[in-house]
Amino acid sequence: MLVLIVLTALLMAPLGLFARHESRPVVGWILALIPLALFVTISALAPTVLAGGRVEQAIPWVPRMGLELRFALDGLSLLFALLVSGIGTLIVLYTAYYLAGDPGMGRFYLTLFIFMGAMLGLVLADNVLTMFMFWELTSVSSYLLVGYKHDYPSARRGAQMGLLITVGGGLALLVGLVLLGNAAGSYTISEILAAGEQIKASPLYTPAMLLIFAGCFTKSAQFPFHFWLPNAMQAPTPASAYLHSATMVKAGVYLLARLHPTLSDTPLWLYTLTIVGMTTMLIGAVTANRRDDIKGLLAYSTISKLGTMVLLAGMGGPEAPAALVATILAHALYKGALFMLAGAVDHEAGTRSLSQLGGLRRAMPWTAALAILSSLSMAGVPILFGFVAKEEQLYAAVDNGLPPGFDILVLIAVVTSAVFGVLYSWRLVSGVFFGPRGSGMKEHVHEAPAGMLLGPALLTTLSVVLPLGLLPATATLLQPAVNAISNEGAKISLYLLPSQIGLPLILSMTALLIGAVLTRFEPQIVAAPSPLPPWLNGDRIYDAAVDGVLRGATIFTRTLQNGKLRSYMTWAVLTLVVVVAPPLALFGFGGLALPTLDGVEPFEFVSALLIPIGIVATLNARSRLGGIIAASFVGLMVAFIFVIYSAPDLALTQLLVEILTTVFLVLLFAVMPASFERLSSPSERSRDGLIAVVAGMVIAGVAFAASSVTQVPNISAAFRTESQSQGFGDNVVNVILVDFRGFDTLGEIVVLFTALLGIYAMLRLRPVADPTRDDEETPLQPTLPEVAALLGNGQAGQPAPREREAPVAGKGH
Amino acid sequence: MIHHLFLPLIVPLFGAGVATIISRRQLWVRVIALAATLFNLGYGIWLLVTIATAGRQVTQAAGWVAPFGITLMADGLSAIMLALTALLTLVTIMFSFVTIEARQERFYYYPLLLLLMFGCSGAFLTGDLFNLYVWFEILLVASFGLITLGGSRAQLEGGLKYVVLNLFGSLCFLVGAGLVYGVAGTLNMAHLAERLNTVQQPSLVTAVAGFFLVAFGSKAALAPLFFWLPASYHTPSIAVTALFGGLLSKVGIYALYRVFGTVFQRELTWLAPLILLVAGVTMVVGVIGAMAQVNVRRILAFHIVSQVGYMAMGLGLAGTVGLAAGILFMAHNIVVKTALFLIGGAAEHLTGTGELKQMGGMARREPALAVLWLLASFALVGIPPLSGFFGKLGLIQAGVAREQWLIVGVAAGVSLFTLFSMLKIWNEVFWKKAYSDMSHLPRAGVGLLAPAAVLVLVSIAMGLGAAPALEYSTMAAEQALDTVGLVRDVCGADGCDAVELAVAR
Repeated sequence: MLVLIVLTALLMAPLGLFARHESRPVVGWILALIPLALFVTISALAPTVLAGGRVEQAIPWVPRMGLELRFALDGLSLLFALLVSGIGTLIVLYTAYYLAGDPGMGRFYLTLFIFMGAMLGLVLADNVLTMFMFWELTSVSSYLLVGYKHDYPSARRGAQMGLLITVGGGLALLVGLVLLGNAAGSYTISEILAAGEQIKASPLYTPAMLLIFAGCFTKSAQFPFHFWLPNAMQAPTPASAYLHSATMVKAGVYLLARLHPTLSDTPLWLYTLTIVGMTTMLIGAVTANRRDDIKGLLAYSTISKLGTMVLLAGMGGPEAPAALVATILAHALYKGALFMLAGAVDHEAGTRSLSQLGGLRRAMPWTAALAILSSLSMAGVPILFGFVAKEEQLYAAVDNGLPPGFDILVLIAVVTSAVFGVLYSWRLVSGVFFGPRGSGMKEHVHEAPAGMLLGPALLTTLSVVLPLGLLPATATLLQPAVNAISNEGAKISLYLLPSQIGLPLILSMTALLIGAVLTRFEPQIVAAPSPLPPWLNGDRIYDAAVDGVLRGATIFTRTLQNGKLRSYMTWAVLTLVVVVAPPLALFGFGGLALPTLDGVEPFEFVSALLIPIGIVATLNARSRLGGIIAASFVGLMVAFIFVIYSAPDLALTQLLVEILTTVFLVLLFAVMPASFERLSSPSERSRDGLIAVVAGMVIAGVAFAASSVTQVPNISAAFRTESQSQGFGDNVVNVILVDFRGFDTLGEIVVLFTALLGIYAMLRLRPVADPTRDDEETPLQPTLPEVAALLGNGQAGQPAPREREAPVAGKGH
Repeated sequence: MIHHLFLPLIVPLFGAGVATIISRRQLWVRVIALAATLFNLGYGIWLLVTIATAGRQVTQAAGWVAPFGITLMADGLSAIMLALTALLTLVTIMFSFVTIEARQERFYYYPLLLLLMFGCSGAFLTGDLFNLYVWFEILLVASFGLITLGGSRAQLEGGLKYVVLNLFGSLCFLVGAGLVYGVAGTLNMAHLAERLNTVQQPSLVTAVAGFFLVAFGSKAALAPLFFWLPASYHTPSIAVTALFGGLLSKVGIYALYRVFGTVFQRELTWLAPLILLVAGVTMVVGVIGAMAQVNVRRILAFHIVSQVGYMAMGLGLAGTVGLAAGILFMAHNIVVKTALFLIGGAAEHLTGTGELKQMGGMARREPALAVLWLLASFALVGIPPLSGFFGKLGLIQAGVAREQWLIVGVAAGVSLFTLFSMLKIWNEVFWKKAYSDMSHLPRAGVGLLAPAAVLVLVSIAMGLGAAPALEYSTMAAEQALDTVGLVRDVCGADGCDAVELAVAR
């Protein structure tokens, strides 16, 4: 059943493409049936989970890698799966109105459904690798949704930033998960949790956890990676509401909660999450108050709440799991609604800027009413669910598991973020719906279509209704999730008013009061300098990093791949020396006698001596013709050696090749200047010369050693006996060439044949210089530069550019 | 009755010969090229199945018993490479039908393609070290012909660098083959594997193995021997680049796997740290090079270098698990890389330029092409469940098991930069608004899309079917490292020395 749930969303995704041709809202109503069906199916499984059970399903996939499509539904998965499918239903409906008439709607729905399936897979997976797969899939679908309006550079930038940061974290996560699986001996989450003590004792625990944290922090927009989330607000609002507020960004929190039961009670976990969560919470809360764009404001308030969740996952204590679960639910309800309402405002008023909005309560009364209620929940004002969740947070913060001193700090931070929460909620409501009519709005602003308000209305209603009598039921529903996070039997008990007035309630009221007072100083707070130093601006660091990486890469590559063949050759020869020389030195030639000249025929001696002379002559040649002659001299000496060793056919081949090469070179050089040009400096030349000499010595050394140590019988002995009896030839070399290894000879013939085809085509097929002329007939002469290029650094009459391989070009985005 | 292992060599060779003779009859040449390639593809698939059921296939050229003649053999690794070579050649030919200029077709384009396939197939089937050298020569000359076909100045420059640097690699190979003959007195791989494990001069054999490392490393475009690849791959026609991009450097990797898997198995344990170092540097340098580029094909060319590093990592982890992951990664990469070149090339073909700055608007204009690109590029980056994920996961798992933390970190980190430069192409070619009015430009037809689509489908199938793919590559890795089995299959139960002694007596 669980596999079916995940696959349904993924496989039904192409149905979204129907919206390409039919952009009336009715498509949305039909498409909404998919997530609705998923919601109903998951709900149907809820009783099992509420009764303390677990639904599991596993399909083997790649057993050798430990990758198994294993899914399990417990309390935590249930909560997330219901959020994903439930809010998903509302978002699909909302989209039908928000994007009505947009030709890209089909593409949007397609990606949205892929995301939905991926997110469901993520929260249902019971195998870390399967979870990772869906984790990456959510990043990719988020990328496509953020870049939906890809004509705009800002949309492309936001999309790319989000993807790079989440995939970067994802890679860390992958390695972390593999380490975790190694330490646990299994990739199944339930087995990993069961092996908690073993993992914590393993040296892999710390690196694995740090890498997993990196994955969670990037995904859940924790400081210092938080900046991608505001930039992701380039996405159409339905995607922002769904992915970047209600579901995807909570994936990191989800994973932390998932690993919480047995891997959390270490200083590493405690301090890392507490510090990062707290910092994110405060930075988000403060920055939300400095934003003019309402989606930006909501994005930073989301960052703040995500920080709160990470803090709750980290700080320990008996109440933290309950507070975490309550916060997740409360946030999904009010933030989902507020994003959709912000989209409605943008849709109707044509702007999202607080400074251009105002007084919309008359034009958009329903939107205003819903937004006010959800904002009150966000501010944590009593009788709304946000208040209940905040109570839980404060309870957890009062009774946290941190050492003295640090615990007070966390408490103060939570209260402070609550104060700022009041302030940004106030800014949102007052700035959009109250005050004078905004300056930058459309001429005639109407109420949003009812379809767009349906989703926010439902979510807001829940925020209002849940605390009014449904709290015990909610607690029952959430208890399994708490059970999944805590293995210490934490209990969740939600209430509107505590039986006795304790510290949490006092702090909550104080926060509201201070927040209310601070609203009087809104302009000053908005204008206050950023709490972060200017160099710690994530956006700027990202841009600088991208720029720096591109610039560095360009310089590096231009230096290395510089277009000079001689530099490439130097690298090649140097590599050979570096690889071969050390083992040769280790070998050390110990005990090997120097070769003597006994038995060396005068012929051999002379020809061996003439070869180096030929090489020196080639190097010193002033003219091309001289160089060719000197080089061919070397080849002839080699042929001569073949003759001495009674291999006439080899010698003949060598002679032929040598003559052909010489003729070919002379033909080509006929059209080039007679003398060489020096392109490299004397120091380069002596360096290259040194490398060449060392390389030659190394090769000679290996050859000498190899020929001196032979202990095994050589198969040529067998060749000698066989060639006469089986090959019917007296000359062993002949028989080897045409019989024993005739297959090689066939290959060499093909080499010659292929070379012929290539050379013929090269000589006859010239690039089209003049379209009116039959290019096949173009003679060789007009293409001198090409010939010159073929042969290296020569010039053809005019001063040719020194290096013809275009250097690698500059940066680009 | 000839042995079946000769068929995938005879068919393309005869095809090339006949196609050369009738080179002016375009239709027939195309039919011959297509038929020969289809035959090799069918044979490759048959061989994959045969080896899975019947194990290593061996025959001796001209009937001379090993180790005297030349051994042809095929194991899982050979079969994978053989089948993929034929698949790649097939899609390249399909793509060539709509993109190659007619005059190039007349000048032996298809015969050269078939000869390239001939050379590669031979390299994958030979069991003789010197014979491998011959096959490398064939594919070097054929590829040089293809790179310079068209004769433009850029092609000649690129071709020059290509041929000179590759000849250096060949030279190292040749010297190494001579030295190994000097040390071990034989060239048959099975015989060498048997003997080199008894030679008493380990460091001398390591030095000799170094020549092969440099030779094959140069063919595989490992750092710092990769310069020929980015210098030349953007110059020939798109179809040729696509084929080379998928295939050529992997022949070098194949040779590394083959030769260091059995012949120099003992040296592999010594050289493994060096190979891992080279692998890591190659990954990094390649991806840095890619980031610096602003041309579709140049970006992709540098990525070849980067990804060859992952394949070397599979070898450097010196074990079945690592090698299996390496093979899986290589198979994936061969398919996806060519797909990317074909898709990027289709965009280049339509726009008339491969410079990112002057491209754009493709997502709206050619959504099918955009979808293909997304799938292929995310597969390259290793986003699950596409094919690249499994190779990378396997390498990371093997690296973790071997506690090679550094290379694991590099392999993971480089993926991010791979993503970055893939996004650059996506942004500039597909998402950005069109650089100029595109309404007069041609639209992508089925002929242009189908070749890439075939490869993308194969990549998806390799992802979803990762389990059988991994089982097969594990079997291939086991065979590639199985010295005992190799000697038994090639020379018989008593080993090659016994055969030789019997003859010498």
